[in-house]
Amino acid sequence: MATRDVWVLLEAEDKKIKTPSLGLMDEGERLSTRLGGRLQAVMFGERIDGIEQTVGHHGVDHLHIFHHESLRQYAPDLYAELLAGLLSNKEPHLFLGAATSLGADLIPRVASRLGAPVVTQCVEINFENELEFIKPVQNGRLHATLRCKTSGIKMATINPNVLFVLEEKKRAKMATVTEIKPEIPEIREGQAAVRATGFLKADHRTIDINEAEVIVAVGRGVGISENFKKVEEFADRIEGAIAGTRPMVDMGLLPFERQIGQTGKIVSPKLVVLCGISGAMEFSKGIETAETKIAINIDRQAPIFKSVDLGIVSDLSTFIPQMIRRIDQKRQPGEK
Amino acid sequence: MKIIVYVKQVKYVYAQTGFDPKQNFIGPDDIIHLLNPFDEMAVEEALRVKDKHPNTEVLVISLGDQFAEEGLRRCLAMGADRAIHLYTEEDERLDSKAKAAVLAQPIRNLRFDLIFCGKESIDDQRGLVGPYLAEALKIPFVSRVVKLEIDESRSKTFLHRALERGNRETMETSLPALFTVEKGINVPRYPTLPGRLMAETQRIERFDPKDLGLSIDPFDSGSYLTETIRLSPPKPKKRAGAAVDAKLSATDRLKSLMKGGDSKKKEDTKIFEGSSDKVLNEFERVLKENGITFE
Amino acid sequence: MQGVWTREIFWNLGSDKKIVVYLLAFMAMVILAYGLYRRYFLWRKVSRTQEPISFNQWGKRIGAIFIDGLLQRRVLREYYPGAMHAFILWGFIVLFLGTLTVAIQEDFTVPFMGTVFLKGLFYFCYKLILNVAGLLAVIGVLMALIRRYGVRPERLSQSFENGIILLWILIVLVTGFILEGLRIDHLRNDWEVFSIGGWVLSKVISALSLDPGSILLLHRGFWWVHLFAALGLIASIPFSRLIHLVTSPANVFNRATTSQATLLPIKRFEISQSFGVSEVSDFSGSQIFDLDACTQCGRCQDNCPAHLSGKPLSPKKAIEALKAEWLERGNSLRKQERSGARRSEGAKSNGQGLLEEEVIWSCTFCMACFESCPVYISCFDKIIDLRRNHVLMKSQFFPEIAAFFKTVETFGDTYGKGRAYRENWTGGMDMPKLLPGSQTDLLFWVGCQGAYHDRSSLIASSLAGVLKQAGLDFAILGKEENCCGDPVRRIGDEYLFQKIAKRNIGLLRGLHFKRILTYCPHCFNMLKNEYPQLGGDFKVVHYTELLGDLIRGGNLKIQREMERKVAYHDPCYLARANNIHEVPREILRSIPGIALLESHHSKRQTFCCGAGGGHMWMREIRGKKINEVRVKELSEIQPDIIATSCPYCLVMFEDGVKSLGVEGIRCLDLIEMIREAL
Repeated sequence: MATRDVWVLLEAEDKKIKTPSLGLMDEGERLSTRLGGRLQAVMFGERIDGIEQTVGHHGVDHLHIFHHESLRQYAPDLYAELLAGLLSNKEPHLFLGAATSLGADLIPRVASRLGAPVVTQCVEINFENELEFIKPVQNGRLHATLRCKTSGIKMATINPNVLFVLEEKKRAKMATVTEIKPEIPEIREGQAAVRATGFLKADHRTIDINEAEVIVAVGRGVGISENFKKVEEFADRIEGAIAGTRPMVDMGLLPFERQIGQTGKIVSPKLVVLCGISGAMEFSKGIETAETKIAINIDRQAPIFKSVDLGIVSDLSTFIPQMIRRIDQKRQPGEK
Repeated sequence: MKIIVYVKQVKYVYAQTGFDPKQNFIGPDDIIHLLNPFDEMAVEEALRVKDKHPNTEVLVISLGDQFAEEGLRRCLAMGADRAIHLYTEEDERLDSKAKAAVLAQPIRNLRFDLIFCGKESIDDQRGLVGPYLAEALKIPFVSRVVKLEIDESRSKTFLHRALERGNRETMETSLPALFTVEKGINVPRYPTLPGRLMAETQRIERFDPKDLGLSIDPFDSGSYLTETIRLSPPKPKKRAGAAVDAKLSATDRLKSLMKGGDSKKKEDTKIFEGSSDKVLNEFERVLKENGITFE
Repeated sequence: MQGVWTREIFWNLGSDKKIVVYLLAFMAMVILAYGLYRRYFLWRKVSRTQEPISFNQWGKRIGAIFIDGLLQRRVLREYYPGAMHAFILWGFIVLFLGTLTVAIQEDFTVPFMGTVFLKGLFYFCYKLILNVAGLLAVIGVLMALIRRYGVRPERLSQSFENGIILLWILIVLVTGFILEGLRIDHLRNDWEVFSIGGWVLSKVISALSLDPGSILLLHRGFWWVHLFAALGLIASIPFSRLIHLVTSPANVFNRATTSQATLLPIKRFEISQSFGVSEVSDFSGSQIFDLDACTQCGRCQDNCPAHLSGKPLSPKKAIEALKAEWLERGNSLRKQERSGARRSEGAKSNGQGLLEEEVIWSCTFCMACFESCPVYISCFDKIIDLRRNHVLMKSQFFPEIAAFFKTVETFGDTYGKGRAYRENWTGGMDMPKLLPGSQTDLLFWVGCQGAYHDRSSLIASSLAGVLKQAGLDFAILGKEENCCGDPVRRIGDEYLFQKIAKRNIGLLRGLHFKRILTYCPHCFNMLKNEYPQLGGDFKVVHYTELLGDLIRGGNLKIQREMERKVAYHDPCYLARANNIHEVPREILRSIPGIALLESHHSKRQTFCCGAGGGHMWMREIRGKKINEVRVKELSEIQPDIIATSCPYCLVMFEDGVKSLGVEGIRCLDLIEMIREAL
C-alpha cells in the first residue's frame, strides 16, 4: 500500500549520527509534513545509545536498523538488496539520502533495482502539487529542475552542503525503533562480488591536494615565517591540507606538489581558505571549481575578494591566532 | 583482457555572455566541446591496465553527435584500440536509464573483463549511467574508485574507493565488473604525435542506436523515469559558479564580467573587517556549513 | 743604403733545401687533406638528413665571413679575449701572406722574370709589417696562456690539449724570431732595425758572445725546428681544436642566412616516422656541422640567462656533450662501414637522453647564445628538436605543460578563459571589428596577454586609446582572434602549433587589411617571421614602430614633462630577433625630462626576462629566478622606472620587484608612459 511517507537514509560513525544525516532528517521532516505523511529513517549497523531520542528530536517517527556482522562495513550489493526489499515492502513516497560517498553509491543501486526514478545531488526539493527536484548542472553554473514521471517511490540524494540543522526545531518526541536482523548466508572469502576490506584514514598532512576536501592556501601576504607556522597550526586544527601560490613554492616554502594555479594543480575542494593571497588570475584558475571559498587578506582591494563566498579583511597575524584560540577553547572547554 | 570505457564528449558552458534570458544568457561563444575529464581519467586507467597486462584491448564507446567522434579520436590517440560511435543528435533528450540501455547494447555479446566510466559528466552531473549500466549488464560495480590493482589471476581486483575528507575504503571485487573513477586516480597522458596522427584516420565503427536491437525505443520519452522541466540561474544561496544579474543591460553585464569574468554579485560576497567576535562567528559558521565543527 | 736592404732566401741553408721544404709541405698538405677527409665523413655520414650545401645570397655569406671572420666583430665584443684572439689571427694571416710573398719571389718572379722585389723600401715595409704581426701574435698567445692558466675564468677548461697548442704556436713564432735574430747577428745587419723582433733578439744573441760557427749551427738547427713546427701545426689542424680554422668560417658561411628569430617547421607530418631528435643522427647536417665549429670559447654560456641564474643549462656544455656524442657515433659508424655491417642506429648507450631533461627545459629561447657566438652556432635550434622529441614522441614533460596544451587547444588562449571573454579588455570602449566584407588599414592583433591578463589588458586598451586619439584607421578581430601559437611552438608541440597557426592564417587571408599591428613582441615575431613558413605572408608592425612614426610625424603631441630616470629593458623578441631597439629609445627621448639609463645588457645584448620558451606556464627549475636576476641588475643603475614594451617582460619585472622587495621602482610599459605624457 503506497504511503505519503518520507524516508531518509542515516549514516553513523563512531557511535554518532553524522552531521549531514541530522540535516537530512530536518529536511525529511519538512517534506513529510508537506506531503502529509510520516518521517521514517533507516540505517545500517549497531543500535546507538539514545538513538530514539536523537532521531525523535529531528522528527523521525520510526527508525529501521539493519543489524548484522556482515553489515559492519559497506557491502554494496547486500545493502542494496536489503534496502530495496524493505522499501518495496513499505512503499514510501520519497526516499532521501545525503550525497555522500555512501549515499551516492547506494541510492542509485537501489533505484535501479526498484525501477524507481532518482535525482542526484539536489540542492533543493519543493512540493507544490508535485515534487520538484533542483540540482546543479554545468559545474553549478545553472540549476536544473526535474520531475519524476512515475507514480511509485521517488528517490533523491541531497548535497550535504545544503543540509543544515535547524537548531530551533527540537521535537520532544521519541522515535520507535525496529531492529532487523536479516538472514545473510555466510559469505565466504572470494564469493561476494564486491567486498569491503578496510578503511584508510587520510592524513591531512600528507594527502594529495587534488584529493583534499579542505585546503588552506597561503600566499605572499602571509609574510613572516611565524605567521606561516600559525596558518599551518590552523590548518591542522581543521584538518585541512596546506597548499600555496607560485611565489611560495619559488621561495622554497612549499614543495611543488602543493602549488595551486595554472602552473600547478587545479583543485576542487569543498572548502578552501585563502590566507594572504591577492588573487592573481594565474592562481585563481586553480580554485575556480572549489565549492566554498574564504579569503583572509589585509588588503581591501585585493582582487581575490571579488570571487569568494566570504571575505575577511584582517591582519593574518592577529586573526589566525585568535581563531586557533577559539577552536581550542571550544574543543577543550575550561582548559587553559 | 578486454576493457570497455564509456566516454562522453560534453558540451560545457564556461561563460554566459549571451543576451537571451530564455537561453539563460548562454550565447554561441559560451560552449566548448571537450572530453569529460572523469572519462579521460577512465580511459587513462584502462590504458594503465593495458600497459601492465599485455594482450589487452581497450574499446571506447560514446553516444552523441559529430562532436562525440572528436572525443573518440582523442581516446584513440591516447592509445585505445577500438572505438564505437553510437551516432545520435538527440542524446541530450535521453534519460540516464535509456542511455545506459543504448550503451550496453554493443557489448552484450562480448566477453569483457572491465568497464571504466567517469564518476559523472561535468555537464549533467548525474553520475547515474554507470550504475544503470552495471544493472543492465548484471555485473557488480564500485563508484568513485581512486586506485585499482588487478590480481595476477585477472579474476579479481583490489581497489580504493573515495570517502569523505580524503579517507578511503579498501575493497575487493571479482571480475568482470564496472568501475566509475574519481579525480585523483591518475593524471591522463598527453597523446603522442604518432598516436594523434594515427587516430585521425583510424576507422571508428558507427551505429545508429535504433539499429541495435533494443526491445524498447530509447528515444521514446514515455519510458523515461525523470524529466527536466527547466534550466534556470542558480539561486543566490548556494552555488559554485558565476551568476549574471538578468536585470543589468548587456554592456553592464559585460562590464561586470570584465576582470576575468567570474565575479560574483556584490550581495553574495560577504566582506567582513577586523577580527572581532562577529567576524570570527561568521568564519566559524561557514566552516560549520562545510562540516568542520569545533566540538 | 737602401740598396742593401734585402735578404738572401735560404741563407745558410743552401737553395737545395727548397726541395725539402716543398716535399715536407706537400706531406703536411697530404696529412691535412686526409684529416679533413676523415672529418668530412663525420660531417656527412652521421646525420641521416643531408641538406645540400647552400650558396644562395652568397654576398651576405661572404660578407659575414669578412666581418665576423676577418674583422672578428663578435669576438671583439669582449676586449681582452677579443684582442687576444684577433692578434693571433691577424698575426698569422700576415705571416702566412709573408711566406707566400717569398714563395712568389722564389718560384715565380726569380725563375721567370729574374726579379727580386724583396729589397729596398719594399723589403723595409715587408719586414716591419711581418715583425709587428709576429709580435702581436706572440702577445696574443701570451695573453691567452695567462688567461687560461693564470686567470682561469669559469668558462674555459685548463686541459692539456689547449696548453700544448698554445705553446706549439708560441714555438713557431718564437723560433721565427730567433732565426731572424741569429741571421741579423751573424750578418751584422745593424740597419735591419725595422725587423724589430729579430733585431732586438740579435742584440741579445750577440751579448752571448757565441762564435760564428755556433751561430750558423744554431741557425740551421732552429730552422728545422721552425719548419717542422710550422708544417706540423698545419698538418695537425684536423686533429685538434685548430680545425676551427676550417669549420668556423665554413659555419659562418653556412649560417649567415639563418634567421635566428625563427624555428624550423616540421614538414610533412604524415610521412615521418619520428619527430624531433632523440639521438645524434636525428640532427641535420647543418646542426652537426655547428658542433664542429665550436671552440669552447664559452661566450654563449656567459650570455645565457639560464646559466647566469644558476640553472642546469649551459649552452657551451650542451654543445660539448652533443659533440662528444657525435664523435662517438661517427667513429662507431666508421667501424661498421669498414666491417661491412649494416648501419644500425642506437640511442645513447646508457639509455639517457642526449641532454638531461632539466637542461632542455631551462632554455627561454632568448637567442643570446646565437647572438654571442663568434661562429654563429645556435644552441636553441638543437634544444627545440630535443623538446619536440620529448613532447611529440615520448609525451614526457611536466604535467602543467600537458594542461597548458589542452587549455590552448580547447579554449584558444593561453589562460583558458575562452573566446567569450576575448573582447573584455576593451572595457566597453567602442572598438571597430574587422569582418570579412570590410576593410581596414591596421589590424590590431591584441594577443592573449593583452586580451586576458589583468595588467596587460589595461595596456592594450591604452594602446587602442592612443590609436583612436591619433585618428588611425584600425580594427580588431574580436572573438575570432586565437592564440598566435608562439608558446606552443617553443615548448615543442609543433603539430598543435601548426594546427593553430594554419587556422589563424586561413582566417587572416580571408580578411582585408594593409598591416597587422601587434602589442606583444612574441606575436609580432610569430606573425612576421614564422607565419610565412606556413603560407601566411603579412606586413606586420610592432606598436613601438608605429608610435615612433606617429611621434616623428607629429600626430602625437607630447605635452607633459616627466622628470624620471628610466631604464629601458629591450625585449628579446624585439631587440635581438628583430633588431628593434632604437625606436623605443627614440620614443622615450621624445618625452622631456626623461633620463635614459643603460644597463650592461642592452639592445641586442639584452638579458632575458625569463618568461620565454613557455616558462610563463612552467615550474621554476632550480637556480635563481631569471627575472629576479635581471631586476637586480637593472636596479643597480638606480632607475625610477623600468620601462619595457612587452607584456611578458612587464609582468616578470613587476613580479621580480615585488619578490625582491625593491623599493622605489615602478615598472611601466612604453604606452603607459606615453599616455601619461600626452
